[in-house]
Amino acid sequence: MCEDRKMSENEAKIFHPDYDIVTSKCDILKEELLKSFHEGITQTTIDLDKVSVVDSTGLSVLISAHNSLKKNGHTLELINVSENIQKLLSITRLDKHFRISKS
Amino acid sequence: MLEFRIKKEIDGLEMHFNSHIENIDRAVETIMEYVRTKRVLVNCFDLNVVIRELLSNAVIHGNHSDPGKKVSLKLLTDVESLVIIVKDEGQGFNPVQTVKRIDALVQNGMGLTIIKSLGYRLRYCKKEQSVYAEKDLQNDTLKN
Repeated sequence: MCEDRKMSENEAKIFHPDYDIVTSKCDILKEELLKSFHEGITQTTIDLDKVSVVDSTGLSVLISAHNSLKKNGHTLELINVSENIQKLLSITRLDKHFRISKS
Repeated sequence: MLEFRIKKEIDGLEMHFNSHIENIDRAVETIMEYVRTKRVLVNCFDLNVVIRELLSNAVIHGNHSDPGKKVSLKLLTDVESLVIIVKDEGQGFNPVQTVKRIDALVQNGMGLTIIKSLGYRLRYCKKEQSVYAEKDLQNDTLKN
């Protein structure tokens, strides 16, 4: 399940997935993100503290979220990013687009 | 019912399963347990990602997530190299043409590029209708 905390009503939200963002599970995060966009959330942060692996399907979910936010002038922020996941973000050059804080 | 068969060999293991995405997780867990038990000196994070990309490609793109279609995976290891062979019931592909320069924020085509960027050589054997991903272990960064 995706535990989330609102930072400020209808403005910002931190998602805290406690599962790997991979093909079999990334729909959970995708649905949570879509729901928050429909609620008008603009500032979106995903805390990857409990995420060990992200695959290309998971990265696609992050890209979709980023593209939706970008339309409104916002950027997706990833926090507590492990060295391994940072490596994937670098390979895919997504580190140039997302705001990233390493763990 | 999810079919999932495992056959262990001296130099590796072989799996056969239906095209369910849950079986990708099971295959990854089985391989991770195998390399830990056999103390294969490979970067486990990279291997985890590579297996997921190959199997997602087979289940989703090759077999169109049709649970009636099968995927097989063979893992072969020795002290110098690790080979993963994945076969599905799709039309096959040319990894050289499919792998392209990553353009960030374009969502398709990332998987095979990631595999190659992690140091795995990719080739498609048309005769066997199988994808081969090969890794030289001597140069791998060891993070088990």
